[in-house]
Amino acid sequence: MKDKHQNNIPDQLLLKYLERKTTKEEKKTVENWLTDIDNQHHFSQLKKLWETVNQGDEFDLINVEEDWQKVKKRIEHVDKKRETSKLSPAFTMLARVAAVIVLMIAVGFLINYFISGPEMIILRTGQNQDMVTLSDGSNIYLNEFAELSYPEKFSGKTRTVHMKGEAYFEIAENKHKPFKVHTSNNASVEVLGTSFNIKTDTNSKLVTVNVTSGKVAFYETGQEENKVILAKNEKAVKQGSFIKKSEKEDLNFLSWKTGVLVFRNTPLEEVTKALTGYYNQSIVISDSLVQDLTFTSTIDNQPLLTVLDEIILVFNLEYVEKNDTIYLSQNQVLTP
Amino acid sequence: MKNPELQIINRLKSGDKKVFEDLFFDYYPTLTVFAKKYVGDMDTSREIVQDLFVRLYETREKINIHSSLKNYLYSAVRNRCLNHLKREKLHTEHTGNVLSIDESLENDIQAKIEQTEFEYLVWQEVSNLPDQCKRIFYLSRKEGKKNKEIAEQLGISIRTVETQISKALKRLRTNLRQYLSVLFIF
Repeated sequence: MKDKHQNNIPDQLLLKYLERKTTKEEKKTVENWLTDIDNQHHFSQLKKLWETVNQGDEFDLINVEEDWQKVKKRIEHVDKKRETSKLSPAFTMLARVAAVIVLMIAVGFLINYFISGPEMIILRTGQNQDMVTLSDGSNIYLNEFAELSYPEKFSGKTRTVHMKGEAYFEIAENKHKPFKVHTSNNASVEVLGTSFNIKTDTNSKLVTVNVTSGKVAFYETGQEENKVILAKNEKAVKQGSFIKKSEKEDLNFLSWKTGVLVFRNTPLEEVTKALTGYYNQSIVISDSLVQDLTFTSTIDNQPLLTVLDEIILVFNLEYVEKNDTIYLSQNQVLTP
Repeated sequence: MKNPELQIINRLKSGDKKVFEDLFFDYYPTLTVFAKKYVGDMDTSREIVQDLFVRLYETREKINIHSSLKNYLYSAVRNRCLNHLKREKLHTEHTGNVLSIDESLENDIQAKIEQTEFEYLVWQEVSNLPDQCKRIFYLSRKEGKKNKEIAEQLGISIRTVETQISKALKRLRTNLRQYLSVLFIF
């Protein structure tokens, strides 16, 4: 018997149903009643009300009057501070004038300082690599097409340089003067004394930091509170405001400097990527079966063709050069 | 922005302490419970909201509100909560993934605000129930006591208990009818 009158079932019974305390009979009655859409409406309102009543206890924990007194005391303190900083008008005027004069002198000094120093030396590399030893004994190795700006002598509380491109840093330890590198793409790396590699990419706007020794703080310039600490053998990449530590170990981040490429059970797909980057020659695998073959070898300052010869020997492949790209594929002659 | 709000803001700017106090009493409970939805802790929530009001007073001349006063306050509380959570996270671990990720997953902030305000309204309505009715209602809801137990405890009939609970529910429904219909979720 369906009765559409929504007040037919008392709210108390509906609450019982909500709290799952009904008998089988009662449950059936309610569910029957709920087949009507108006009743569903009525029920869901009650449900919402009941749930919110149960949630509202938090307001019991708030004593507004008490907390207001706390705030009131604090703002009275604020007023007091303002009052005491109000001095006599004549004195204030004098203080203002004095402040302006001091400011002008200071600005004059600053302008002079900036015009005559500290001299920032700019080192740029083209198709060559270069290195420089700074006044504190730190060594910086620049990859091709990189840029480093550094002062002749470090003054102030920090040792600060700017860079763009890729460079490897061996920073002399000085606990009292942190070494800061500000990079293009808005990243900053800060250390006390350690070795690490920084690479900035103009196209992707990424900044990659690899740590060789010591500890490094890596953050978006100006956002030091969100810094990431990297330790030996760790790597992180900054993309926009996000800095993410990399789980994968990068064995070859320093190959541009050492000339050494290390592969340990590395899938051939990754090997060709590393070779492409290092030799600046596009190498592509044109056979999907070949991609997953793993390669283990250490290549120490070898020409590209020597490396390729080793690979094709090991895996029975062949390579062909077409349109400035080298294509690796299975050896057609011996495969059926 | 509504005109009466403009008046309040101007009064705040000029340092009207009475207006400031009224604002505090109006918004403190909901802002605090709203904050608790982020930081989880009541004491921290109260601190955050109190700090906000003090700061508001300190920098009152510079107040520059474009949206409504309500949105401004909720927004400020939310920002402070998220900053608090960021600082807590960096204390305990050194991963760098900024909390922005959680922010982007956060669903409708407006809904959170409305939910908080509704909770407050309900709580106020319950607080306004007549004494006997309220007592019975609490025993039934908060302590989960059966009608029979309540009747025994208070020395009244079960019928009375049932009637009072029904009355309470009816009253809540009536007074909150407009909010309940808007929040229709099945």
